[in-house]
Amino acid sequence: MREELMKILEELRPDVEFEKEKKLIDDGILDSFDIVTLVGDLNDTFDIDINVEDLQPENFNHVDNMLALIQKLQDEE
Amino acid sequence: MAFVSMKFLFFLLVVCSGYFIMPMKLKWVWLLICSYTFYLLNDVRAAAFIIFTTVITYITGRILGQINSDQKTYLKENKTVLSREEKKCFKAKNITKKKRTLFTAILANLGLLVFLKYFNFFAGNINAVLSNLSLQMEVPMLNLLLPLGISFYTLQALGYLIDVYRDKYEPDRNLAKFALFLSFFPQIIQGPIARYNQLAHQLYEPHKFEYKRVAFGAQLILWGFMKKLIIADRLAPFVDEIFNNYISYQGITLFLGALAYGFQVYTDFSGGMDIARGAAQILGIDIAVNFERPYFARSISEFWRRWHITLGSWMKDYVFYPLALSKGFNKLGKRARNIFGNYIGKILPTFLSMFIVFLLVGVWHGSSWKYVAYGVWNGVFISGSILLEPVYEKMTATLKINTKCFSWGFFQAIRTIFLCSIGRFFSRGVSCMAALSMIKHTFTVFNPWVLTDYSFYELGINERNMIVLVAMGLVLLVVGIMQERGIHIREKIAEQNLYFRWLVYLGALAVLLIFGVYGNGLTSTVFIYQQF
Amino acid sequence: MKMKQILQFIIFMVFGLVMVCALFYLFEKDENDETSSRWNGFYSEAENTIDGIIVGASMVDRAWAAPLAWHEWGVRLYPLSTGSQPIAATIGVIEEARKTQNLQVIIIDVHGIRSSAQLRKAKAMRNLTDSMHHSINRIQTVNRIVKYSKDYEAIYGDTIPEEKRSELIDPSDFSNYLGFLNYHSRWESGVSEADFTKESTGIKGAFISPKTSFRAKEQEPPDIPKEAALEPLFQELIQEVIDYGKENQLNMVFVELPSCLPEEEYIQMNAALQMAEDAGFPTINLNSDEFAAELSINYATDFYHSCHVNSQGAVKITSFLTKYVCDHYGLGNKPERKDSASWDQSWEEYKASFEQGWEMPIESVLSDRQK
Repeated sequence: MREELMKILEELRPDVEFEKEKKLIDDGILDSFDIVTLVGDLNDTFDIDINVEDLQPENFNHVDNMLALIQKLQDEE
Repeated sequence: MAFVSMKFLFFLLVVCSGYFIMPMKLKWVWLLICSYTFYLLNDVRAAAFIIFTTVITYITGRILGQINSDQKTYLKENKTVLSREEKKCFKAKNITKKKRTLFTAILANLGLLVFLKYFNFFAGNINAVLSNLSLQMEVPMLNLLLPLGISFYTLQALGYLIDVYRDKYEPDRNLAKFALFLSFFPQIIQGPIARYNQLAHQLYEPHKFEYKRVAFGAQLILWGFMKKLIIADRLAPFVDEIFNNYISYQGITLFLGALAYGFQVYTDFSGGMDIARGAAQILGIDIAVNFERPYFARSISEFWRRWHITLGSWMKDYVFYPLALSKGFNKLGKRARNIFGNYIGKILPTFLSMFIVFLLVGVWHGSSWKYVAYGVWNGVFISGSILLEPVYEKMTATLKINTKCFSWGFFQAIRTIFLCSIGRFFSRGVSCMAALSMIKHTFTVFNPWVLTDYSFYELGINERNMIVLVAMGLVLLVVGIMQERGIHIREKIAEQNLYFRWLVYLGALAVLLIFGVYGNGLTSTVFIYQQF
Repeated sequence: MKMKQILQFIIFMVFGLVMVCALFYLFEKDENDETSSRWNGFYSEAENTIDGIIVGASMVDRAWAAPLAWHEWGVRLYPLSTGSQPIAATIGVIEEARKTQNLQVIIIDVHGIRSSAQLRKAKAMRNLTDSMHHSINRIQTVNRIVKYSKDYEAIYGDTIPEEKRSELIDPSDFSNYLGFLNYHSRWESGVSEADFTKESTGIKGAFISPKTSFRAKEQEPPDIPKEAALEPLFQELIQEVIDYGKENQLNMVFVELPSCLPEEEYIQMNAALQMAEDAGFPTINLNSDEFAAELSINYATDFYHSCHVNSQGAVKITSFLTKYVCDHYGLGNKPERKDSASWDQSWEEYKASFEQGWEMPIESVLSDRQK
């Protein structure tokens, strides 16, 4: 799952070092367009349904946060 | 009561003194009393509206919160008993209930805002159509008063409701405290639009007098006064002259007017924000920053992330994301993907949502076609930049432009200021037609001599005042550059020697007292009219 | 808050206050103005060294040559007048003078009562009040003028032409009390040496201007009517001054200085003088035939404007009125007076200016008169 996620992220923003960054949202590294595109990709790839309530910084600040979110949503299905 | 007035300073003195004297438990009550006093002093008749919004929002919040907590309790208690399907069904029913409740409240609050603000606009346009069709009917224009701050507190209330709907936090359980959240006086006139989870607890918690914090607040207020009285009000006669008599001017003169307006509205608005923030800081409350050196922005998108930040951020969380991530837009995107290809399909939801957001931002500013045009202008640029991003990348690569160097950044900033200034024709122009005419005449006439023959010194700012403007402008620029680098100006000054600090504070006060545009003395305004 | 912080704060506030007061001091009404120098001169006079004052509008300071009164009669009468000074200001001016001077006589010119002089312009008020030192009396003077201005507008508001409206006094304008709010914008036109030093007049407030003091424009001698009538609002003004004089047992003399105005203006001034006379105050109408011979005003040589005399006229009027004051109030020619040096000096300066301007000795005007 991690590999797939990294692929999506790198394609979206090749200039960002996703392993290192811990504050992707708080520091404004990912902007609103990135988020929307990312959510679309994640929804398609992992067959989940990320909605607006999930768009909290703590869910997207770091790759690990995103993995946790994906896992949680998959479990709920 | 305007912020930039002796009355407000006196009011603030009373509020702050009272606040620090009050016992801990009653401090927030004092703030509530002061906020409503401030509101009534400004607008007695309209108090009913803010009370209406407060009560409706409070009750709706409680209902939504109740549904949320009931759901949690029920699911927890019956975790093992219910099947997955039953849980889903239960959740879905609740969502419908919540949606209905939320929708009613939004209709009430937003409907009120839309009615009061835009009824005459719609009526006027309908009447225009009717008369074009030679029909004798007419929608009456109503004499509606626009309550103070309604555009701000309504959004603030809606944000709160949507957050409670999303179960982001528990609703407020105290109507009086909630009333304070919506009516807090530093914010009521021109924002910022606060978030409940950021502001509310600060308002309710008591804050003690702390010398450094109070001093910082006072300094910020002084800075706000300086921006408004030295720059904004000094630019006003020039801007007024150009925009109110636009027919007499053309070419670069018109553009200078728009450019000047951009600086006028920035220093006016951000000066007011500084006063609001300073006042709140004295009381121990941090309110959101609304401006972050917007003229350093490298693109219109970035500009809107630095200008009226809380409005943009509100739109992002409560309009943009819900739209862009909605099922409807999702489907639209998929269909577009089939027709126009992968790229378009992917960006279409973003593109459309952004456009709608900026249309709303434009219209939020006022009820006139020019604001619609303003919204469209910004929307086109921002959406366009999303669409054309790959094109730009290719262009800069082919032309071998280094996009990481200072000069490129500088070029981008200048380009952004230029594009923004054109947008200003819409926001300051006396009407949509006037704005369009001004834009047309700006670009169809090329008169660079206007810059060199000093004729613009006749239009409301003479040489001496220009020197003051430029000097203060440079100060703003230096402060901006320092802030951009993360330096906290007031802290920095506080670190210096006593004598230097005092020189700065007293010097700033002296500059404000001498060069501020106030009083009935001979000002540039008089100069314009003296020629007629 | 620690003690050190409190102390620092207090010292800071003191510095701030000093700075602000300095700014208020500097950015006042333009000190190059002759009104300012006249008032500065008055304030610089030592206590109880002035015998009396003459109060009124611009015709007063054109008509008064205080150095001459000193030289000829040994009397010190100081002019406290400003352009378009409203009658409503009279009490305030007298109060101000009485703070430091024991006044033996107060001469009040009634030209300020005319309808044509009643439009209360903010500039006219400021000319006076901004020249006064900050005090309760100054605030009260402003209040009196503002109140009168409101009363005037209530009754005569409709007659004020549109274009004059912007010049009227604005009651809500706080800069009426604190000139700085208005004058801070003088940074643009420049703050001169006089604003720092607050120069005083060297000729005890006498009006010497190259443009007008040495010019003569022939005037039509006025036709003084017998009637006397004054509108109620204006009657109130005069009555207030009369009541004030009575309350404080002041020796007030109401005069009408020489002028060449339309008939209806004299009807009003007649009434004013009549009111004063009825109240028991002496009045002198210098436009009547009674004094014409002694005063020997020459309508061809003594005026530069219908209601302003030049320095020749000033010499005649001053000499005449001072003699009156001496005869009736026992003033003048007392030996051993304090601070005579500045008064003697003022006479030298005034004489020099006069003789340079007219190219004739000042005595010739005086000897002309004593026929």
